[in-house]
Amino acid sequence: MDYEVIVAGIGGMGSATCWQLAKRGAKVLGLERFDIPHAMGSSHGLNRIIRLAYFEHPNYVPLLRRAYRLWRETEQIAGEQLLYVTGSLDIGRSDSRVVMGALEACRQHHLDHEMLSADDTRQRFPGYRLPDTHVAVFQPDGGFVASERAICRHVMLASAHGADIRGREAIRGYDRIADGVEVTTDRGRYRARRLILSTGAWIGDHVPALAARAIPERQVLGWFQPRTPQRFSLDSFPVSNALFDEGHVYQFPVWGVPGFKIGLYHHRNETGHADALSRDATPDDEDLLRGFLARYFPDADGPTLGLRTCMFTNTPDEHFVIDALPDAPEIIVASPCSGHGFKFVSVVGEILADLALEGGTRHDISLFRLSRFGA
Amino acid sequence: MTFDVIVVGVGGHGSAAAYHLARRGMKVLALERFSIPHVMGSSHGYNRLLRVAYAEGATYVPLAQRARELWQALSMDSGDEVFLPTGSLDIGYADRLSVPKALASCKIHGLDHDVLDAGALRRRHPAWRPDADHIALWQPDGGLVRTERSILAHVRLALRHGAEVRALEPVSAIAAISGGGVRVTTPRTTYEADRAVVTAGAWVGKLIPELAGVVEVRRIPVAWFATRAPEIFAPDRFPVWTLDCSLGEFYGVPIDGHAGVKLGGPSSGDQPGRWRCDPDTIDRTPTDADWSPLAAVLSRHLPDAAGPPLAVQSGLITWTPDGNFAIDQVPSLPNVLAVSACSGHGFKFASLIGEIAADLAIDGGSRHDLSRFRLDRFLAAT
Repeated sequence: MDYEVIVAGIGGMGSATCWQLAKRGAKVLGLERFDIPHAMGSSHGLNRIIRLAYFEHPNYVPLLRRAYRLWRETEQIAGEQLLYVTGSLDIGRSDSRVVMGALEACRQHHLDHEMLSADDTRQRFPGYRLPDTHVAVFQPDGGFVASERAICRHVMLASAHGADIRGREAIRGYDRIADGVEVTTDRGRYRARRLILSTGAWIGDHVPALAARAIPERQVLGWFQPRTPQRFSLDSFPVSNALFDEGHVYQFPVWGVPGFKIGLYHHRNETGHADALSRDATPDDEDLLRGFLARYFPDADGPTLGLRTCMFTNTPDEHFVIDALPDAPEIIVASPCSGHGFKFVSVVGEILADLALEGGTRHDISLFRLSRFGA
Repeated sequence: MTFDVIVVGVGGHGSAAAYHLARRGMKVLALERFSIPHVMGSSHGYNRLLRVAYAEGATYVPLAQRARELWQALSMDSGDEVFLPTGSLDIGYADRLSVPKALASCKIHGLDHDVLDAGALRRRHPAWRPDADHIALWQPDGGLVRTERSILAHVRLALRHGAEVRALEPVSAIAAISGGGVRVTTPRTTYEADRAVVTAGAWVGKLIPELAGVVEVRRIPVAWFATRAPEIFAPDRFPVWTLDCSLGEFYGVPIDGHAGVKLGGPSSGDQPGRWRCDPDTIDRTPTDADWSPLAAVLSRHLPDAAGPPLAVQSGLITWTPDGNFAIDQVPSLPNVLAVSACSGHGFKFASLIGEIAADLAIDGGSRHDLSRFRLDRFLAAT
């Protein structure tokens, strides 16, 4: 065998996995079809929200707790801050899935939290202008992770621990062999005991069973210059996701660039193959985001600083897939994330290293099984 | 809408110009065709070398010294360390161009420096495996400028001083208004101002008639390579460098901003036309031919970073026939300044070029010697 584990796709998930594997002494090859880091997938655009009051499902909370610990551990080793705590708000009507789900996660896992009315929210966080019909669940541990910086640090640490990581080398296919897998790329062939596929929006190209169940979707992130910058600073503006009548948006304080950052879940419902989705942002994209600024973040409604497109890869139930292939257990899949995966990459790296080296993990990943999709 | 000055292009130079103009009380509009920052021009890739021991000509030394001062001031004022001092190494041969020229710059301007033989270079900077006949010029004032971070620092301070900065708004035309002033057209609207400063980099030939057909836009690759020994490529042990070797002329920086060791080259100065491109139609996708010479340099001279690349990126340079910049009043467009065409060695000067742009726009002149950057040198040649 050339390697113990080959990791295909060195974005958030793959980079963290290389680091966790190399840290445990495994001989690792990491392969990325684009540059490391790059702006073609789902890991770029400065930062990603991390939040504990997880409206999507309370079972994510223990994973999040471990993710926080591992982010802090990596920061310590790397000597660079990667996780910034701002607090988080989950905003919606009081009977919405966002508010009910966030409260359920808080109750089940005894998380510190506060319920805020629209007026409370405006008083305390004046960048927000919520309609009176809406409420917010404040949870003090929320914040964001510096996404490209995290990838760079994972790769640097993995390389220093002996991992062999290569950009601009695309996998063409893989074959099962005795005791492992042979991976063919556009530059060579490599044998390993295990193959981890963390190819994000391209996962359907590598795992036919996921082609119809992991659907890439175009997203657009916008940065807009606040007219009142002090209302959007790290210490005055918690990250949030907000389910308004016009759509579900997520937003960040000013960090890195002098712009308030906002995105709309399922932006314009544009789905397709990852190679075919447009990476250009248009004035229509800008207008769509601006509509939310005008209504709900009016002090952020200044000139545009930037727009970037990225991708979600959505499953039918919007939970992740983290599992070995049923008919080829030496091949482990760690995509798609349905637009909410980056915050977890520290713990997903640990889980994948567990699965590849131990054949199992102590973490509860029952939500992420392939078998839930049926045959 | 009316402004004192419109800055066209918000990369390294434009962001600095917007800042210096706004700080001096001008009502500034700065327009950028892409996002801020972006990767389509000449200001991306995390960092650039700042060398004071300037091989391109001793007359650049005072400019590099003032630029360095201004980068340090920007670090203080913005709270972000946009300049990282590392010292610089020019590695080459005693009898070939780059090192003797850089050494001459040190001597003319009384710069601290040290000449190391190959053995001393290896001992002091253990990442290096020079040829036996290599020598290295060490100069302590060198360092790296963080490109995107410095653009953002200048933009943040410009905004604080009241500038208006608009991204995703390409300028399609700049025209003089009879009776004074300029008119700048974008798809969104038309703006008027007393003056315009054109810091459009690779697009300058499309906006300034005198530079069309004179400047040559070239695509140049840089790449990052992983290392198992990051400590010997850290900024405190691995100064910014240039290298003249049997494979060509190359340059690089310590690990900063990225996971890997970055280098670029070979220099294309002696191969006119080879890399020529149009910034609107160029395919920026790098090829293996872009990084294979870099991998060869690493194998031979920096073996702890040898291997296939983590990332390869294309940048654009805007070359003038003599390799000097174009910073001047535009004869055919009264009240328009050209501030571009850096010929691949301009970013380190961006802090100073912003100051010069403000000098020229506000005072009509600058205390710095700009004689080699005049536009009429091209007109005389044609």
